[in-house]
Amino acid sequence: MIDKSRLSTWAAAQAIYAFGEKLFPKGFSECLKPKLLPNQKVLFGNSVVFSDKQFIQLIERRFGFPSLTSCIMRPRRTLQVLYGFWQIGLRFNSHACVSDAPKLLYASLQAICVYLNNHEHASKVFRDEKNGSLLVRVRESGKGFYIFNHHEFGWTVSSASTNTVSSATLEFQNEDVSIQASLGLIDSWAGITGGNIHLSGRIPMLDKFGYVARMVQRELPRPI
Amino acid sequence: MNQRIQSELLYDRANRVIPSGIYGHTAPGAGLPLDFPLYCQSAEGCQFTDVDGKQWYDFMCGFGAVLHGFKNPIVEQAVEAQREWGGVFNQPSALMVELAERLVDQIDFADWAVFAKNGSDLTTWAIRVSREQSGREYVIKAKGSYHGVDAWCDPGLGGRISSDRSHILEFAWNDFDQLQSLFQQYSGKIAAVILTPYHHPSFAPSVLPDRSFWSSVENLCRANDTALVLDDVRCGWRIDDSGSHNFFGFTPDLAIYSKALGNGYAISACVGAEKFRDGAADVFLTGSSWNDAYAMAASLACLKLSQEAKTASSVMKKGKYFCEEFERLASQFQIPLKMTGVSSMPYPWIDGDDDLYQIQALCKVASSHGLFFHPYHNWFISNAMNDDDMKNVLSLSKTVLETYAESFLSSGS
Repeated sequence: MIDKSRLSTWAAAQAIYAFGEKLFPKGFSECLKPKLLPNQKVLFGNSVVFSDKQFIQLIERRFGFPSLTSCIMRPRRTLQVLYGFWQIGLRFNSHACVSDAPKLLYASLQAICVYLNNHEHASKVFRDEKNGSLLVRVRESGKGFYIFNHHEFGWTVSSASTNTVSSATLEFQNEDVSIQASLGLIDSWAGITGGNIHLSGRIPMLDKFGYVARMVQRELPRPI
Repeated sequence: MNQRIQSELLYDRANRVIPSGIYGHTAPGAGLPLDFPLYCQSAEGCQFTDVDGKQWYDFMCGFGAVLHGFKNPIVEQAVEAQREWGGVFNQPSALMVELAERLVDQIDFADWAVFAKNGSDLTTWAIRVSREQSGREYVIKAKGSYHGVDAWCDPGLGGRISSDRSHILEFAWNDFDQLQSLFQQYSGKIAAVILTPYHHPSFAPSVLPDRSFWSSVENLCRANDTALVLDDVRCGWRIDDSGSHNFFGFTPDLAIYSKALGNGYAISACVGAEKFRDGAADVFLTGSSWNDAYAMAASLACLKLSQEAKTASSVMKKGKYFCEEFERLASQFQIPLKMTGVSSMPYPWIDGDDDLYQIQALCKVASSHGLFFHPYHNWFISNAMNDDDMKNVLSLSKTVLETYAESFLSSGS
């Protein structure tokens, strides 16, 4: 388990990396791959170090600096990472275009999985669902992701095919709803009642997933 | 055509002033959010009308709160008569004494009775009485059983701290060996075992007790001086007119009733054996309107009605007929459906449908034909359902099952 005080930082870093994986070519996105370091620091792409505080500030105020050593020793790599963050930041908001919907969804599901695997209460809540799986997709396009419990890595997100069978299914009516939900900007109760969000299959699993998702949305840093 | 205009308008207003709009077991997400009505206008007998004017055959009975039919004239008349006198006073009314006497008289092991408003009020209180009486801390319940909304047992996820359940132990229903090993592990520390008459969890088929289950549990509790608490909130007066323990052949120490006890008027009761009288007197119990004479008048009328009309055997018989016919129709369309639990409170289960997709689809079709079939909760048979209602319901059910089979089974979806 990751230290509770650093979990939101770690989940945010994982979400950003996930978004980068879908946005950039593989070679480039690797520069955003995060690793937690001791002393409240996060390493990106094995070269650029941010303090937790500066990283969160970068997300919340779009203004944060990597460590001086990173800038001096690896200036090109640092610029790459900052460029990556900037590009993602441009898309990580409610004005995201339809083509960004799957990236946002993937990123938010990654953050939720970090909590399912590392947050004491979230893990406990989801404990009875360890043999289950969840399909999260956009109803109109049929595109989506599959969350399952990997024997080695714990709760994991992967792309879903049209034939994916799951214990429970969470569907967003269209990409716009998916974007709002990924950003935590949707009233999920009204969405369910009004037909923007569809639940089917194992409802207790969806209840738990929704509970953890709301917890993640409350705790993760977001642009102010 | 949208048949839920008024429901949705009300929900929009509600969502501004009520967290999540509608909460608890009637929350839209806890049923079929796009198919079930969100608000009800009126109800009579075994039917209700939603705020958009659609009429439904009801199989939930106010989630069990109504046994004798909505607006039962005998119950309503008793309440109307009490209205002349008033409902809540500074002191209890004479009805409280009369109701306690009636319960003590009617329930074989009961030597005393107390009253509250909801099942939860008294399941939690009964646990505290058991702890007070025994000086012990631990309580055992069956995994997946519902005993109310308090932190020691609620099925929700939020608002709890770890200590809330640190003295609550669980075993799998019917697994007597597991229960016994908990007694060994926590020897001399178990204040109470709280159980429902049979296992009726949500989202899963109901399970009746094995032949020797109740006698074994009762003996184990007696041997360990542990209180056997019966949560008869949901089943009470639906299986036996004098408490469900009679039907299953055992004797609890404390039993809690609500739902059918007031036929929609909020009341709950806990009855107990003499041994627990002192503990009961020492555990504080009160609530703002708990002496409400209207609900007590309703309850007295219900108890009388149940005994005179033999309501429990009547709903069991109606339920048996409905369940057998429903299963027969399902099998006619190659649907592997079984009605589980007791016949007055059947839970429909489709073989192989562990993830509930099929029952959701079936209940959606049912709702389009005005049948209020819940996909996740046991159904309730109303004693107001007469032969004509039953005939109509089964005719509609046939159409529902046929449509479901054609749409979902033949396509393999």
